[in-house]
Amino acid sequence: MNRLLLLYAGEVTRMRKYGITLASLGVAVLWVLLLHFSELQDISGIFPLVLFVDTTLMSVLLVGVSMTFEKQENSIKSMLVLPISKDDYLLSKSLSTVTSSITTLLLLLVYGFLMKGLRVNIVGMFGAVLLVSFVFSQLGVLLTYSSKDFTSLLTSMFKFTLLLTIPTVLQFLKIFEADWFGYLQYLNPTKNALVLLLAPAIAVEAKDLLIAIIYLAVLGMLSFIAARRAFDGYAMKESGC
Amino acid sequence: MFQISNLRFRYPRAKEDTIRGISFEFREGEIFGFLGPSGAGKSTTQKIMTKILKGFEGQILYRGRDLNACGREIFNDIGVGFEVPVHFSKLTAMENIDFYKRLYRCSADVEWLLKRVGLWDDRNKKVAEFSQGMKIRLNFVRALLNDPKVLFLDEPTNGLDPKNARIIKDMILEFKQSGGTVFLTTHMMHDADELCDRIAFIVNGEIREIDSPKNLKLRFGRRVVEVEYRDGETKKAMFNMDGLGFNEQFLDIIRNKELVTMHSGETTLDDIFIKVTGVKLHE
Repeated sequence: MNRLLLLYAGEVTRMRKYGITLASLGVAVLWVLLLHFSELQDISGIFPLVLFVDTTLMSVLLVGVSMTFEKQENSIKSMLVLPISKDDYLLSKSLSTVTSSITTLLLLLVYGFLMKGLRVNIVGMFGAVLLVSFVFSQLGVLLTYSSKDFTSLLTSMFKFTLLLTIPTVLQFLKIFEADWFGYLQYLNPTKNALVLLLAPAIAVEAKDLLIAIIYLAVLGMLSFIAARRAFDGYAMKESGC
Repeated sequence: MFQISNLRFRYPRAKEDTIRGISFEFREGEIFGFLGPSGAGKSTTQKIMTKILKGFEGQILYRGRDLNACGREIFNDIGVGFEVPVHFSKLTAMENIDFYKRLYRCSADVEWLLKRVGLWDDRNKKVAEFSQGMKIRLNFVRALLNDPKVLFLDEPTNGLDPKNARIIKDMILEFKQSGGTVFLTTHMMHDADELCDRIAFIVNGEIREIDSPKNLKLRFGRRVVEVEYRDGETKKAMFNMDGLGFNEQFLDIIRNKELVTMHSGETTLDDIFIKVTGVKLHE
């Protein structure tokens, strides 16, 4: 079998064995409960917001947790002497995270369709979750490279949320609507992720959608290249040097 | 098998080279010991040869081919045994092995390996439930999973009881007998003496000595025999080994006195380590 697929299968197994999958499903159930008790009849507006939190923050966290376990248990050392490329290693991390995001999406879609009569463009929603989850998992890899341990990773995530996620939520809820802030937000990856996730559910401006797609595609490529380049330094550090 | 010429390496942000122009080779079918005090550059050299560290100066040839030109496929030929456990603790021993095994082109007989190191009955236990010794033995199995041609072993018997250390040492010797090559990094001078065909002492990133344990012991030892005997009280005498059979005083002692001990002046690797490296073993 292809080594990427073997690594991916190994990642998925470990996510299950280490309770990461269970935690991710637990969060997905929380989202379902949130939607259920929101008393909103039309959840089309809030649905993408729930997915937004899951595919951005959870993707960063899932990759971070997986890599932190590897560091703590020294299994990263064993991975470094396998006949696998760093591309395979990094992609397997992203693919397993994307799988988790897609599982959450499926759960939410089933609930939305059955209980709330949700109407969204399913293909568009899957595409959006796939791209956003991939990009943020690569950002998660980069954050983990620079984190000493799990506490340090959580601190980085807190900064990430404060600087990038909260401004996007404030803009979405129209709490902060200054023009300069709107322009600045085009540089924010979480804003572009939200636009992409909103598009299959509610109308967004075509210009904003185009910017979001291009922005995230380019960011995904750049963050993958950056993760690839920084991998050797990470490997050197984690091999005990 | 591996030829290292004028190897130099400096860690990023370090002021000095960790490896300072070392040259050596180890041949196919040989167990080559790499000894030295902590921080001497043993692990760094091993990590360079196993492609974990990049950006070195000099040349490393693997079977006549530049190591830099060898892709990741080289790891189908190489087995690496780490000093610390490197397993996924929430997976069973067998799940760990299955994961790694499928990533290699060839695989060894896992059942035989696990039975040999005494882990077959525990194969379905989570590694987290293993003792340190069991984890070390599983490390060794992990290193042999791909049926390698070269084994890089870092302190393979560290943390093992004498019985299990014996099993691992026997397996290393069997690996050599079947044509395998071993690069052994260790602090255990007794292991190095017993296993290695040749050893190198590295100090401050430079190789000070390379030779077989026997030659080193002869070179660093004294050609004398020390006799302890009872003649009313316990006495000691030392004789030059040359012409010993004609030394009347020596012959008188062994014929007429009660011998307590008799030793040749051949030194131990422990003593040679201290002499060559200038540090004691526990440092």
